[in-house]
Amino acid sequence: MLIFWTITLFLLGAAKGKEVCYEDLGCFSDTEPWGGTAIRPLKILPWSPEKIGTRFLLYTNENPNNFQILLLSDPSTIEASNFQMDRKTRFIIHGFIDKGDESWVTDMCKKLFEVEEVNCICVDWKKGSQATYTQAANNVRVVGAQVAQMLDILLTEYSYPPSKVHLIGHSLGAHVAGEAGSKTPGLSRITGLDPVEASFESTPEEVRLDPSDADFVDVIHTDAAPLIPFLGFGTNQQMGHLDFFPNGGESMPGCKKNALSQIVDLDGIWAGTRDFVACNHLRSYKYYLESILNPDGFAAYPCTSYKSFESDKCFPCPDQGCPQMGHYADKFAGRTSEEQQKFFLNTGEASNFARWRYGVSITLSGRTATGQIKVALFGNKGNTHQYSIFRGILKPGSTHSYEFDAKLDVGTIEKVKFLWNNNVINPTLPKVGATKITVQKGEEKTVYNFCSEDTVREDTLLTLTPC
Amino acid sequence: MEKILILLLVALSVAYAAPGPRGIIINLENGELCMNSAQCKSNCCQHSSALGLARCTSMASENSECSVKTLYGIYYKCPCERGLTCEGDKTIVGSITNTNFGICHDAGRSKQ
Repeated sequence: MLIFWTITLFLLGAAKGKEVCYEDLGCFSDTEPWGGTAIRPLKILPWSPEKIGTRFLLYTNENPNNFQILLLSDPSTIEASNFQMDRKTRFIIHGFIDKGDESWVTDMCKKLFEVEEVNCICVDWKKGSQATYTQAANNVRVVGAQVAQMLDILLTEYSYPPSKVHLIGHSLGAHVAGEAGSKTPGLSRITGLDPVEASFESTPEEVRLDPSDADFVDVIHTDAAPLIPFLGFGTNQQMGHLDFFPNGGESMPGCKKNALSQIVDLDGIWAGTRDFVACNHLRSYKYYLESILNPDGFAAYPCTSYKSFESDKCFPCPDQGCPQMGHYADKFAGRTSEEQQKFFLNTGEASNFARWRYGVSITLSGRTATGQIKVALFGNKGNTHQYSIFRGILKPGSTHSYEFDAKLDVGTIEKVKFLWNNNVINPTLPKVGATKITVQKGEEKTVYNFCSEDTVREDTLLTLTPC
Repeated sequence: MEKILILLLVALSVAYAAPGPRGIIINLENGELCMNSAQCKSNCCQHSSALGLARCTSMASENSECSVKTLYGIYYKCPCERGLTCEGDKTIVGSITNTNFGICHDAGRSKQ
């Protein structure tokens, strides 16, 4: 009998769940879907706003190097600051074990000031994010509610509409933005920079970032490999209107360096250590940073999978064009589509990640030989490196196609240079040429044709001019 | 302290999870530390100063700055891609200090 009642009381206690309420923010429970589920087995309540210590650090074009603190408890701090009511506002929200005054956050504000006049608010919740992961994941709810509260104060006290607000969140910060967005009707845009997977993937929409959280939600996935066994911190799940998967979204070029080369980084040991720990995951904000100053360097192609993209099945851009990954994603005409859309592109392996995609088709002439053929493009804005197009038996009359990602936009293509080589000594000094090379830039319909009747020896460049 | 500890633990997990490193001596990818160009897949090991760290980098394209190939095997500016020649400074001091720089040109451009 005693055992029966003991068990009964225990079950009643377990089923009840706990709840905590914070003034102005509402109540937070640890029941489904926030806890006690397969994805979130632990029942943990978020910390209080005071314990999390959220700060809103305002930078503007007038004070790019020193922040002003905006207080939720004292709206007059907004009035007394450099916050401009006639400008857009972008919030930058960091993630797990990060902080609002980390260099990438302040760098992002500075980059934004180069292209626009904007209020840039860094949300610093470092105390709440530097905790056990599960606790930090639950603190997301309070920080999200506080961001929503800030937006509500701006609306009610200063008639500043959410349609002028853009939230940019990295890692857990992406879900902070999602939480804030779900509480703020009319929010213009959310950018998720590799939203974190653990505790959020496959959860209901109210828990995670999703397209209903803002008028326009774009997501960049850079660490989408499974957490087990690849330690991919980011999610593979589509969470936006547009989801970008650079380099397939799982493994970024330049992130596979040996440990020594990774840690001894060009930006210093601290940046190198961060890269060693989470190189793929951190790339998402690096791409966004570079996209601010590269309006056309991150064109992304709609495709069903990265495998299809790499097999040249998604080239060139469709009629509605290609969106630019990152800062300028909202200029894409197709963003209003009801379906969630997937986009793929390739990037560079180090700073100056922007790439421009070209498709090349070569028809060979001359003698039959073995080796590889390379092509370089020359335009009114510069020329490219040599790119390997084909390797194998070079037969006259055969045609070979390939797509490559150039480090610069050469502009209008004026000529093409062709070269072939192998690593074999050729006593007969064979000559190979290209009768025709067709070039197309990914974002254009224009096809450029170049012709030549000459043939060349190995390691000699053949110049093809317009037909 | 807590932060450093967490970082350390995460770093260890990453190190264990990472597929076997491909080594730090040969077949190096762009961006990896090197001491000689023979170590690099790209065939160029580049540093910005005599005492600075050197990394594997792409060869110089046409119209870019370059160095002539030397026995040093390490460059301030990379030699040219195939089919191109590096035309520019040719001094004795330059060949000793590895500072004979030039521009990559098409070796057969006179045919155009």
